[in-house]
Amino acid sequence: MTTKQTFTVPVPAKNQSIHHWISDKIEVLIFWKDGQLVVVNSICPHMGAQLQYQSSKQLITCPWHGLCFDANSMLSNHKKFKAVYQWKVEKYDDISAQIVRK
Amino acid sequence: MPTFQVTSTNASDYSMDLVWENAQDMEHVGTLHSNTNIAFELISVEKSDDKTFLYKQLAYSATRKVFGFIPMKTFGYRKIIKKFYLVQVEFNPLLNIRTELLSTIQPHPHDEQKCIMVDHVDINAPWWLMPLRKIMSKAILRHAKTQCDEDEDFRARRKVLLDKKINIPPSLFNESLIQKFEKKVTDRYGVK
Repeated sequence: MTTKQTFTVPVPAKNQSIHHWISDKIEVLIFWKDGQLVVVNSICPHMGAQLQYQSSKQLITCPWHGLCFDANSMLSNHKKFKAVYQWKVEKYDDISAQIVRK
Repeated sequence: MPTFQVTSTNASDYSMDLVWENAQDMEHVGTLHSNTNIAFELISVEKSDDKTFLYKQLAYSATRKVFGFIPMKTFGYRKIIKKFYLVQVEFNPLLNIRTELLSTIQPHPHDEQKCIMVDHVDINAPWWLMPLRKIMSKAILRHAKTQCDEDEDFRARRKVLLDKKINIPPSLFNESLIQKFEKKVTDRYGVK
């Protein structure tokens, strides 16, 4: 039987984003997109920069080398670093959200 | 061509190894240093036999913001001499300026947790630009200081990852133009 990995993360104010370490090795980026709460891994797979959300372009971007993920598909057009991991948001209120591995 | 020298010294709060890692990486120039640069492209890269180095030598082009706002394309060549030492020659064809850089990382004289970056730059410029050499020297010093300050965030983040034992070794982000073109040649003409 597999156990579901569940974590609790803080919820940012509307149209804001925040970073949060959910364990010693996993940091996530939490942001609002089209009224939906979105949670993705925020350690850039290239060199570990903190990924940022650009709401105007709906892109998740790396401030160091410009790696870009589409915030809808979670895919990039880079040959090596193809996707960013998205967590499933099970439930949330104004303060916290529960996320699980998809 | 007349030459003048500039030496810039900037301190970092991080170890020599973290600063060295950042110093080798040129590809962040166009994004992390967007205050002083617009774009960066690798033209060719030669890998190093020493796996701790990101490369042995590379050729590149960069679009710099000269005096903070004038975009100018430059072409350069960089070589790692040994750990903590690299040399770089860069040409600005429009102004006919050539800069020769020796970049070094040295222990901090008073704090072994920190280090200093010392850059020696020789600027070869045409005679008609020499009256502006003081302005150019200041611009180079300001450029180095700005980039060093921006790089501190990079190093701070890498230190966090290191402390958490999250191992993401540095790697080149893009293929060079030569690599891309070689692939195109193989696809188009079947030449391997």
